[in-house]
Amino acid sequence: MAETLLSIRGLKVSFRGRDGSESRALRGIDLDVARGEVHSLVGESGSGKTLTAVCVLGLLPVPPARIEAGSIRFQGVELIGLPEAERRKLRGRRIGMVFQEPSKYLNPAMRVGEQILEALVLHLGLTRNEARLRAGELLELVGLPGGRRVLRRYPHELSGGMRQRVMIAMAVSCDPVLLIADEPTTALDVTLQRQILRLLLELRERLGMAILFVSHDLAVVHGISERISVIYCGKIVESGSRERVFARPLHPYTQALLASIPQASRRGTRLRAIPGTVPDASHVPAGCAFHPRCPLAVERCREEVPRLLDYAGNGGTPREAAADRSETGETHLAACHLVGT
Amino acid sequence: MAGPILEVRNLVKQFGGSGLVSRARAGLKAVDGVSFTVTAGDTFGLVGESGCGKTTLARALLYLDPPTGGEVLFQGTALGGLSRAGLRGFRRHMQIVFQDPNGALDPKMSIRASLGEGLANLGVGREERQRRAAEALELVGIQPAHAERYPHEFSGGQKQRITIARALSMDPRLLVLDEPVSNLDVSIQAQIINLLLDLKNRLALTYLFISHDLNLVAYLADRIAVMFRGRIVELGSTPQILSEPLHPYTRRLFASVPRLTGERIVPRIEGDVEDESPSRASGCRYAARCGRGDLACAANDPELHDTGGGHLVACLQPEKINQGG
Amino acid sequence: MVEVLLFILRRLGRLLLTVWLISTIIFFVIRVIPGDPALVIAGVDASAEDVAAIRARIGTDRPLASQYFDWLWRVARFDFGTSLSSGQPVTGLILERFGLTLSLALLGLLISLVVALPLGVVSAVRRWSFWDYLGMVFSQLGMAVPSFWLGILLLLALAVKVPLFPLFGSGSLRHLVLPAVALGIARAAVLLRLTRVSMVEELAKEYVITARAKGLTERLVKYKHALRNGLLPVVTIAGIQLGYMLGGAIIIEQVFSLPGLGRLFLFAVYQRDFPLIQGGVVFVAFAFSLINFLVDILYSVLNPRIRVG
Repeated sequence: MAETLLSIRGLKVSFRGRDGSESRALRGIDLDVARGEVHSLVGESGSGKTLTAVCVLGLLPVPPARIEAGSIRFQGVELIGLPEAERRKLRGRRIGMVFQEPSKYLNPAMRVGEQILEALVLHLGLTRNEARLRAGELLELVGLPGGRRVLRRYPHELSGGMRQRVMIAMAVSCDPVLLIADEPTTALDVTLQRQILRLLLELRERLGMAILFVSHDLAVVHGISERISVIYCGKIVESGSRERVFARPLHPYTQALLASIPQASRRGTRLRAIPGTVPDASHVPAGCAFHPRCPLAVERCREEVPRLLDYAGNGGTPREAAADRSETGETHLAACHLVGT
Repeated sequence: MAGPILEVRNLVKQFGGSGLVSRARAGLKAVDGVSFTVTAGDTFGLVGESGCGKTTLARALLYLDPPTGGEVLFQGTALGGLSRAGLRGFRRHMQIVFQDPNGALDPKMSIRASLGEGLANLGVGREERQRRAAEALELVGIQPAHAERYPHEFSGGQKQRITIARALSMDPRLLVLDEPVSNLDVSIQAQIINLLLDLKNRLALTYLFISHDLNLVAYLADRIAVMFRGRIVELGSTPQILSEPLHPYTRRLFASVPRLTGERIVPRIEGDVEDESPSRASGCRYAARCGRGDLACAANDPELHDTGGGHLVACLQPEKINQGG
Repeated sequence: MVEVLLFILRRLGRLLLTVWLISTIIFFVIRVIPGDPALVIAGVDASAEDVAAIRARIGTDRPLASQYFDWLWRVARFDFGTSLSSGQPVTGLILERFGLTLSLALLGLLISLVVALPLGVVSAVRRWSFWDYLGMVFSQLGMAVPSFWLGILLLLALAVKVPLFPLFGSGSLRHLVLPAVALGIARAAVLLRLTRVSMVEELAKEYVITARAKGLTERLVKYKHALRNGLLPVVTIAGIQLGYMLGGAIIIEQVFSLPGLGRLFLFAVYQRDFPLIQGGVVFVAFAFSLINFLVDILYSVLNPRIRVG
């Protein structure tokens, strides 16, 4: 079992609204990413998946948000409470990030080359010429040959796919050990999407980095992940290997989500839609957040928040999720009172 | 009533250029000779990637942005020959539901007002409008009592239901749906899709369903047309397209679609480079990306031809299952 | 490259169009107003011969079309005729004074930029800090206080009470300082607000998140990334303000007794010196359009996205 690269435990984040109301955006996130692993964080909009990524990078806007509790350990070092100067050294250097819409996430008034160079000069201490060479190499690496010419361009002169490749080049420029990708292909066409996903996987092979892939698209996640964590209303409700989660999902939300996705193979059958709407972070239901929409809900679900337990061993009897996953072998976590019933 | 409800013949939508600089873009044909037939009661799926012209096509055949060439026949009547008043009369039979419910609903108008607007334009009286609005809201699962509310008081899924209700209040025969669920949360999408299917059955509607989500179209549509750069490159029943895609682009599209079953994606092999090549002036417009073409493909722009059983393809060398690739 | 040239050509075309339009309008306005301009100039008691003489001088005895084309032709050559009150060529009169007005406007712009930009940027970057409040107060005051009042105040304080600066006249830079400050402060108030708003907007944009995610220091994020985008609207507005100031900061010129364009035009209107008025209007329109043209070019240099359009 590979060592744990990133370990989030009990992360709780709240937001103070303008009217003074508090919303509990993250209600206790538990997540492990192993070295070199492709780990997907799947959830709908508002579930807190992007927020989790933002917390790992330390880019949470501290008022109005607040970290109430929890820990984020990266390569053994606790990130919460780490001085900003230290965190900045990690960003762009050991942890890279790719965002969703490259047209908005690239500076429109700065040449693409400059935007790639910056991190190299800052983190690796390269001279501008050295950095320029390396930037050209990076562009080749991400499938944009003719690197030098592209370096001189402005973002608006490139197509959507090219811009996304530039963002990826920027993110991996300093050889990070963890790449966080927040919906990197959502805005792209299907064929382009596949190219970008394959590119990410290849970079993973070459550079040995882990990928935390944040997405709402279960099919995309199915295509690339080794491990999947499902997030609902600010809490992880299920986490396990790709095979386990897709073939034998334990949590009713995961099950319902999988059953509701239209596929060619389901032609002629009615989709099993999840009733109701996704709760807003300021009005999270008591007990299990999913209970109002859950077909299996019982009294206990309304009252008690289920803990995330490991169902992978011992013929299905749950045990506590271990502090360090790398010691326990295969795990399949779920937060539900009714697993196995 | 069986038979074609919509016939599109050689539809062209060309955007004019004006001024010095856009002369280069003048003559850009967003839709370049599209023909197809939609049978009443069917769901006709239109797929393609961004820039292929599918939204332009939808707007053109509804005469929202009238075509610059070709014909559109609705239930046998050519729309191009109608006067403005005549066209307005036909419009009620062909309604459209857009992708973004926020853009489609005026935030300053109550739901009731939004719903009644189209009918008011047709001269329908107030009582009748209110009756229809209430009916339409019930059909989509919104309580008519909520009609006084404003759009911002509803969730995304509810707003989309309201836009569907608005289309339904006009009593249409044909509903054009342009990415109706793309902006919605995954768990809500299924609700709306089920609703659309129910409505279709209850009200005997015909759907023209446009989407980039191939899984969704494969699930819903009876016939599928694949568009590439303003043309339909393949057209057939869904089983035909799924089991035996003939056009290289169709194959590539369906091979790229993420699935919930099967193997993991293989990391990129070197050389899979960003393809930005524009269409050539002559010859097959897919030739540059195709990788299978030859001289004939570079010289001739293939037309859609029937390969049997209503399965049409525009390719000089359509791929057969037992050929490599 | 071609696109850039076409862009410049189009802007140039706009410039010429504006000048032509203004020339045409001023031409027709004067002639269309009821009443014979010659009569207006000659005054009530003038004899018929005097009026006829004036009419010949200003050319209103000729057919309208011929007058118009003659006018256009002269505009193109910058020949605005002869001033009725002084007998000297209008163009010469204008150019004599233009230097002063231009210096005043430029100095005023410089002062406003020097005050507004740093303060505006700091306001945005450290919101709700002391500097921000200072900036807001300054901006409110600057907009509320009329520039002529400020001018008089400055004169009282720095030319009378403490004779640091000359009271009136022209000829040296020192003569321009107080008037430029009076002009500049009012402009600075507006520019400061604009800079603050623009920077705040930029700092909320997504590319700033990317910059932070790369581990860039806050200084780089704010001053290297956000600033270049934030200053763009300020450049445009500053350019327009320069244009206004050129048009004649008439009141300031009066307060400080500066022999600039503004005073010249005021004089021309009192004297009903109609070639001078015509020439003045066209000249100012031209200057203003020229500045806009240059601002457009500058803007396109700074904002790469505009170059194509």
